[in-house]
Amino acid sequence: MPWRPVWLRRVGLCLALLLWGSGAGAALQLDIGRIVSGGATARGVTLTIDQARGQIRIAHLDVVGQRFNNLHLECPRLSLADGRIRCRDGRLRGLPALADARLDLDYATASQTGELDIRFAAGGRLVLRSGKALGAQFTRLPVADLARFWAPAGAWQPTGTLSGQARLDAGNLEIKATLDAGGFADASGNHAAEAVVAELRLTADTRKTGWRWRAEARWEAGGLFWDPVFVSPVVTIRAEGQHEGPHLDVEELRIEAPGVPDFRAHGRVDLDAWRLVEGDLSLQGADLAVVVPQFVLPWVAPAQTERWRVAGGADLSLAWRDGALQAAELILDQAGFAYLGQRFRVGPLSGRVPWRRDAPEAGLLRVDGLHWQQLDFSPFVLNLTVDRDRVLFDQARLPVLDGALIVDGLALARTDAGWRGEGALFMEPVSMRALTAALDLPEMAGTLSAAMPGLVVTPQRVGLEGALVIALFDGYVQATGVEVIDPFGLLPRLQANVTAEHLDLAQLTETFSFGAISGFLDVELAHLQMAAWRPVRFEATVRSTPGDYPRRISQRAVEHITALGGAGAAAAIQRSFLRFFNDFGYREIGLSCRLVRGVCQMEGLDGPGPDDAPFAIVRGGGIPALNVIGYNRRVDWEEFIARVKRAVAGDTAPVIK
Amino acid sequence: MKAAWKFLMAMGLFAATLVFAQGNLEVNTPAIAALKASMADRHAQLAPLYASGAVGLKSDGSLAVHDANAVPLAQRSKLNTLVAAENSDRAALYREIAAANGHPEWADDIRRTFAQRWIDKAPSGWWVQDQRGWARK
Repeated sequence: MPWRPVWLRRVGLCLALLLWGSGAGAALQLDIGRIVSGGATARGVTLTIDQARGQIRIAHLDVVGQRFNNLHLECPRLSLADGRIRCRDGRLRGLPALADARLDLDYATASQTGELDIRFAAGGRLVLRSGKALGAQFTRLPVADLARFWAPAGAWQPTGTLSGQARLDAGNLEIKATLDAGGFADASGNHAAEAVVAELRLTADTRKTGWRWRAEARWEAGGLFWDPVFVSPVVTIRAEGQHEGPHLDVEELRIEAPGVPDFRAHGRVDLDAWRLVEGDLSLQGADLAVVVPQFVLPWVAPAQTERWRVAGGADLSLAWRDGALQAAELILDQAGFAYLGQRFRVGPLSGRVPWRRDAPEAGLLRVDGLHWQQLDFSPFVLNLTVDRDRVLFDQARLPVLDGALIVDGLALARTDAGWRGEGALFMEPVSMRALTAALDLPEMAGTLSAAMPGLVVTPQRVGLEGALVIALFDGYVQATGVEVIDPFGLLPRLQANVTAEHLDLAQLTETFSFGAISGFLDVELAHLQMAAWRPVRFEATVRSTPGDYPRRISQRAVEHITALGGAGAAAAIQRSFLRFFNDFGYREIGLSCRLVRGVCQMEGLDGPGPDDAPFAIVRGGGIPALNVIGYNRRVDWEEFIARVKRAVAGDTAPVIK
Repeated sequence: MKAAWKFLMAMGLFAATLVFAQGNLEVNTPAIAALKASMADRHAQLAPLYASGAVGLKSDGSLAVHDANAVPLAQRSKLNTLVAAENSDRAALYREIAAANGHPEWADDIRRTFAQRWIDKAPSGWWVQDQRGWARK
C-alpha cells in the first residue's frame, strides 16, 4: 500500500535510534507512528534496518473502510539513502491477497513521491505511483487476488484479469480497464459468468459533496447465466450520476443489448436498503423474438419456453415513485404469439396497455389475426380498462366464420393463486356448414350457438357454466359443464356433459355415409373426458327418440352396425331371405358404451349383462323386421374406432335374425 | 424413441403394477401415449445430464437440477427448460394414469410408486435425492 505522508504527527520524526550490542550487529529502528494519506491511515508504523535487510511494520492500516492489522513488509534489500526509502523484492506478510506477491518500494521523502511495484505470482503486475497525483497501472491483474480484499466476493469464485490504468488527481478519479477471461460462479452454478471480455471506463469527481461519476462499459464476449436467464453480448452500458450518502442518483442510464436497442433509465437508489426509491425506465423498440424467450418465458412458463414463438416489437415504460411502481405502459407493435406452431396463433397484435397504481387507465388492443386449432378469427378490437390488479374488457366481438364469438364483461384479476378471469361467452350462430368445412369434417347442416354466462379462466383451467348448443340434424346437441384443464399445457383436457335430442337419423347417416336410417335419436354423453381431442372416459347412451314416426333401417346400415361387433361376429352371421330387402322396419335402437381404460363396455337395449351374453342393438318391428344383436360387450376403443372406419368404408355381412 | 421409453418404463412399471394390483399402470390412452412420446423424445437429451450429475431424481417422482456446473453456461437455461418440461409431463402422466383407472385420487400414490422405482432402478453414478439430501448411487 503506497502512502504519501501529508503530515506526520508522531512526536519526533527521527526518533528512536537504538543500538544493540556493538559493532557490526547494529540495527536502526525508526518509530514513525502515524501516517495519513488521502484515503488511508497507517498507525504504529516502524521501520527497522539491519544491515541491508529491513522491515516496515504497520500495526493498523485503514483503507476505504477496511482495517488491516499487523502488516509486515520484509525487504531483503532496504536502503535509506539520498533521501529515499527503497525496498527491493519485498514480501508483505499479514495480507493474504499479497502473500505471494513481490514488492518494490521507492519513496522520496523530500518530494513525498514514490512508486510501489507489485508483481503477483500469477503474473499480474500493479504499479502505484504517488506524487502530485496518485496513479496506478495494472497489467493482467488477477481478479481473484483483488477479490481477496473483500471477503464476500470469495464465495463467487471470481476469475479473469484486469489490465488498465487509474489516476486520482485532486479528487478526480479516472479508471480505464479491460477485463479478460472474466467470470464468477456460485456453488450451485445457477449464477455464473464465463469468458467475459469487457471494457470499462469510470470517471468521478470526489471534490464536491458527494461523488459525480460517469461510467461506460462494453461487454464484448462471454456469457452470463443468472437463473433462469442467460445473457450474451454485445452489451453496452453508459451511465452517469451522483453518489452522496446512502443515495446513488443515476441521472442517465442507457443500455444497448441484443433485442434491446434502446433502454434508458434514471432514478435514485437507496444503497442501504438496496431499493429503487424513484425513477423512470423506458424500453423502446424491443425485439420480442429475442426478449420474450430470453427474459420472460424462463420466468413465467419454463416448461413451455420452447413451445412459444414470438415476434414483433414492444415499448415498455415504468415509473417508480416512493419506492413503488407507480405507472407502467406497454405498447405492442405488430406482436405475434404462436403456441406449438399451429394450434394457437394470435397476431399481428398492436395496441397500448397502461397501468397506474392510483387510478384506472383505458387501453386498447387491435387483434388482426387469431387462429385456434383450425379456426381463423377475423380482426377485432379489445377495449380494456386496467384498474390496479384487474383488467376489465369491454364487450368484444370476435368474428369467426359466418358468426361471431362474443366475450362479455371479461375481468381478469390477480389472486393469490395467480390470474383468474371471469365473464360470459356468447356465440352468434355459426352455420355448421361453414364450421364443418373449416374443421375438415363431413358437411353438416345446422347452426352452432352458445350462451355461457359463467366463463372462468385461470392458467390451470377454463370453465364454462352454461350451455353450448348446436342445432344439428333437426335436433340439438347441448354441452354443459364444459371445462378445459391445463389449457396451455401439452395435453389440454376437456370435460363436459353432452346431450343430444331428436337428431334426424336420415341426415346423420347420410352425412357420415352410414347407410340410411330413418327416425330420430337421443344421445347422452356423460362425464366426457378428452385429452388431445380424443376421448379418455365417457358414459354414452344412444337411444331412438320416443314417439311416433317412421322407423326404417337400410341393409347397408345394418351391415355397419353389425360390423362394429368385429370379425368374430362373422361366425354368428345368419343370412336369410331378408338380405334381399333394401330396408327393414325397427322398433327401437339402443346402445351404451362406458369407456374406461381404453375399453368400451357395451350394453344393448336390455341393459347390463354378462360379458358373453348377446345384446340387442336394434329391435325389429313392422314388416320386414329384424333384430341386430351384439356379441362382444368389451371392445377396445381404438379397435372400435378402427371398426367404425372399416365399416363405413367396407362391406361386411350383417347379423340378421 | 420406443427403446428409450421402454427403458424409462421398465424402471417403474413392473413393481408399480404389483403395488397397484387392482389398477392398471400400463393403461394406454391417447393422453398417456402422447406423454410417453414426449418423455421418450426428451430422454435422449436428459440421459447425459443424469450421467454427468447435472440432473438428479427426486423422491417425489420429479427431476431437479443437481449441479448446473456440469453443463456449459450457455446451456443452463435450456437445462431448466428440460427439467421443467419433464416434470410437467411426469405430473401429467401420474394424473392421467390415475384418471384412466377411474381413480384420480390415486395420482399421489402412483407418483410415489414411480418415484421409488425410478430411484431403485437408476444406474449407479446417478444422483438421487431422499429425505437426507442428495446422494450418488
